[in-house]
Amino acid sequence: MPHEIDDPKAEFHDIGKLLNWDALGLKKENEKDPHEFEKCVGDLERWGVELKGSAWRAITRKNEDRRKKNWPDSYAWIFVSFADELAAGYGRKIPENEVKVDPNRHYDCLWRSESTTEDPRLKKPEDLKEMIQFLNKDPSWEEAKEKYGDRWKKRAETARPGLNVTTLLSHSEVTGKLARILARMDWSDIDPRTPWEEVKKQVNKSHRKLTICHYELNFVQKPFRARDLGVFSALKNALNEIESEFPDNVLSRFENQIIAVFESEEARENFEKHIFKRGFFFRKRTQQGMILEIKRHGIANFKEGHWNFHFPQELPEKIELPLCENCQMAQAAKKWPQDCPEVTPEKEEEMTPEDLCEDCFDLRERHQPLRKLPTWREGSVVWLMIHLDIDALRTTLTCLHRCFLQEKAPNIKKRWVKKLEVSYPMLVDFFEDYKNYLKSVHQTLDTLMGQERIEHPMDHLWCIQLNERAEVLDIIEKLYELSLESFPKLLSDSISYPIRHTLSISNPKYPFFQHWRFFQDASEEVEIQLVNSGVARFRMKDSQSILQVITETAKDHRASLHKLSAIATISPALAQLALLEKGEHGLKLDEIESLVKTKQLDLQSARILANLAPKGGKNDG
Amino acid sequence: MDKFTQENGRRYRKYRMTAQLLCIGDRMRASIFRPCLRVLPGTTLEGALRSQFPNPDRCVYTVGRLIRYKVDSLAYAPRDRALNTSVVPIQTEFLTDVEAEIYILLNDWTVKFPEKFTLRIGAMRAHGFGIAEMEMTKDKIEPESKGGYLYTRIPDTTKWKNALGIKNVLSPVYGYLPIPERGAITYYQRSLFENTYLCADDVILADTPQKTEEPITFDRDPIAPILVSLAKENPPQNLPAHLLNSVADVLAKYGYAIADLFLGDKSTKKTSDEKQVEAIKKHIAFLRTVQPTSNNPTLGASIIKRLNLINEWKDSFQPPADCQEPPRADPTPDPLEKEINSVIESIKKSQAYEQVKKFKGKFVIALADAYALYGGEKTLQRLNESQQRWRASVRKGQPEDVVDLAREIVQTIDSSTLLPSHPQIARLVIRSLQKDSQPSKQHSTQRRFER
Repeated sequence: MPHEIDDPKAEFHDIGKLLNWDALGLKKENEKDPHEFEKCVGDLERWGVELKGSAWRAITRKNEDRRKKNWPDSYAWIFVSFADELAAGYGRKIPENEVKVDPNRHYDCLWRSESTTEDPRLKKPEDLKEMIQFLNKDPSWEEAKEKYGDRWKKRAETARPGLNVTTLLSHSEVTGKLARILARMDWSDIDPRTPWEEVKKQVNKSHRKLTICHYELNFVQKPFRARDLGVFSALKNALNEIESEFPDNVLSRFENQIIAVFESEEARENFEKHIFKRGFFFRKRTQQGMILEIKRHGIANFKEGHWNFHFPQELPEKIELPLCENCQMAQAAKKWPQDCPEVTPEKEEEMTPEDLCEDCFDLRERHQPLRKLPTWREGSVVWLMIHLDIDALRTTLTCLHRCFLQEKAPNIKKRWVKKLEVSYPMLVDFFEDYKNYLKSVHQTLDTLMGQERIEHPMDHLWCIQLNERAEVLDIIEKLYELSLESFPKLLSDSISYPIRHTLSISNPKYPFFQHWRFFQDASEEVEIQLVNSGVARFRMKDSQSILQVITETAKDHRASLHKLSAIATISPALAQLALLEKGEHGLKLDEIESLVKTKQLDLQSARILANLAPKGGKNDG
Repeated sequence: MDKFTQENGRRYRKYRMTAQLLCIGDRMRASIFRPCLRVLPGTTLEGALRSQFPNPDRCVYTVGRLIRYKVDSLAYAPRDRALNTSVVPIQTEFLTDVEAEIYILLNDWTVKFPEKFTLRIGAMRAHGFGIAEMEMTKDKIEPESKGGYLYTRIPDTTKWKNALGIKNVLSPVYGYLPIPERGAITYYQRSLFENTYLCADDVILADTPQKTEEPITFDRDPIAPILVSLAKENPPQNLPAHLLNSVADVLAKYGYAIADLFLGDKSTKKTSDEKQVEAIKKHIAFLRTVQPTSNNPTLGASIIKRLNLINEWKDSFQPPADCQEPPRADPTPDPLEKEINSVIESIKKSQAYEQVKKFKGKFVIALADAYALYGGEKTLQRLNESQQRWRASVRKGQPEDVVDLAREIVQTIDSSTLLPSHPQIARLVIRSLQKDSQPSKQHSTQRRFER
């Protein structure tokens, strides 16, 4: 490559937003609410700024004279500028004079209620000096985050009211990653001394394309028993390794999902090879376009892209017998447990012989299976999976942001509200809170059920031993409370909750792949499968009231609920008609009737929940 | 070559498949669990059709989509006859109450498949599973090429792809299907599984990815369109509950024809409001002509029982106004109904019936009750023994032929196959034969009022 490939350190480009230049008395005349050092300090050298490191290069990139003087051949300013545009919030698309209200420097979260209006910026001259000294050392991003992370988190990327909904931290981090990806492209056709507007024109004419992919990693195996569930530890390891091998490409990672950006087709293929190398397949959707095109549409805005499945290698057309029992995608070359040296002859007798392919055999041999699950022989277990639906999240956040913008900037033209789209850094902020939510779910389950009764194969997957099935209702209640605590504004009538909670209850020996199949299909906010009985579906916001009604109704009218639900399996409409029957022969389910009328609950769900409700009370059957 | 295909382009025939028990076994897991597929693989259907209509020189390309099913499971221990022992019990999943739509690509052989036949399909056929009734619902469907999600599993071979018009597999979901030869699996063939995104004939595609065990939504609810249609008719809300319950009971037990007879009988009684009876009759007639109530009187009965609540249902649950009309059915009479019709017809054709101007009132009631109470033989005996007394019950001015008619009625009923064993229904038949040459007073008053 003709230019330097050092880190552009684009994360630092907006560090000036952490300072209150007005309070410092350094704001130049005629400068309207600036945050750039050179626009405020003027004579940087007088303040002890040593324009040497990459951090200063990113900060002062907009000053052409300084740039030409200090870094004449550097392309870094181009990478930082494009990355900054790509990671910008919606505010940058709206002209400055559109929102004429005093700026809000603090970050307003769209999904949490609590909000501090305190200005997070530093306002003492000593703070400025300390920052300059810190930057003179050309610190790493990690060091900077440690020092100023909290402020970055509290400061909004855009200060305009109604648009201050993205943290400066997520904007800076995404900018940093994107700049490093852009730096990997070939820029030799552009002279770094060219003015910015000219660079943009040239880039528009070139064929530089960015590819953004949303991956969902999965395994081909159909795990049956605890010993096959080592596949989760393999998947977790694979995700960790991929993230550490491609730290810049991976923009976000949660559950088994990755959002990654690539500068070229080769880079994407190389990335995918690393997934396949670890024995996993994936489904993927792609967004590809010129840099400014991506900027226009927004990163990871997969509006039209449908999911494509990708398998590790060219699969053979025919497979001779025997077929691997676990994945059913390869010939079985090994016998379990005979070929496993670690299995003692006594244990071997207890195990059912299985034909396995090399991969599945290796997976079983090398990866840690679940230890507690095989010891739970009696009672039931519930598998809980939490899943974030990004498309639903985008829709929900767009809706919330529109309302927020109209509230904070009532005079804004409707077309800006209509055109509003959620920026990627806002999603990054959400992912962060989502990860914290998963952690708090784990902690709560730990406290509620005890560590000995919980298996936690993935961050978003749990297996819990149940003493009685009614404990599932306690779990749902806790999930509701945690949701209310973490995302209170998402539990509303008008918007959908993008986090799906799926629970599947069975005996401990029930084949796991059946639970997995149910998890893959789930699409409601809360879905509870009682194996061999049915599925209950409802919205998270209604869960508390539903559970209350069900627990009360199940005490005395369990049989009526069963009768009604039996009708509903043939026709929900007919069951609705039966529900209206009053008098001597009526079912006397008034509270259920009101839930059904308001479409909060269907009758099959009511029956399943009634089956889970604690026993007791007279049965009307 | 497939002559039909060559001459007329590609066409499909659509069948409706129903089965009480179906086991499309997936591979056994850990030697103890045999899951059941929630899809109908093309190869399974092909195998079943081939064994039903053997022809080594012709190919069958077919796909099927499950419309409705429930999942159940059973545990059984297959017997090892050689060792005279039972092996470890296997838990097997299976589907019950299955409805599916099957598309068969037509060629010069498949075009000869009958319109109705019984297909043996899937596993555990020796245990009574997999008896599927096939009924043609549409013939010579011209496919349209489009993009969508495959809802079935088909071998990833050129033959299958060409046959089903697969042009472009955009996002394959691969798996392997067993290929049997002479009853035993010989190898596994790479195949395209459900949710593969491709361009192909529309009959093999779904608009959205397939999901297992989806809840019945309003558009998939078979009864909802019927209720909406009934609600549009604005049924009366004050029909007597005892009448609705009785009609529903008769309808559930004996079907539409008998319910109609029952209601006809009610309308002659002074206790019932004729208008109300007519309203119920009208709704019963409607339920008889639509699916699925047409061939499921129990379902029809559960609607009739709640006829008073339909308006309230409409107001409370507000079903979509653009709801589709329920599918029409051609009501085919059951054997009992056929017999009733032929008995009534033959009595009405008889000379005695022609000659009697009025045949109603106490006499008919007495005759009907006597038949229900004593059966045909004894009624005839009593008719002969106390002819005088019977005559006395005949209204003034009625010719004496009425006794001959009564005798003929009893004899006709007795000579039929099913009615003698259903004396209560025979009672209704007799009562339905009442003649009314002049409209009653009540009738004319009503008509005047209506005018």
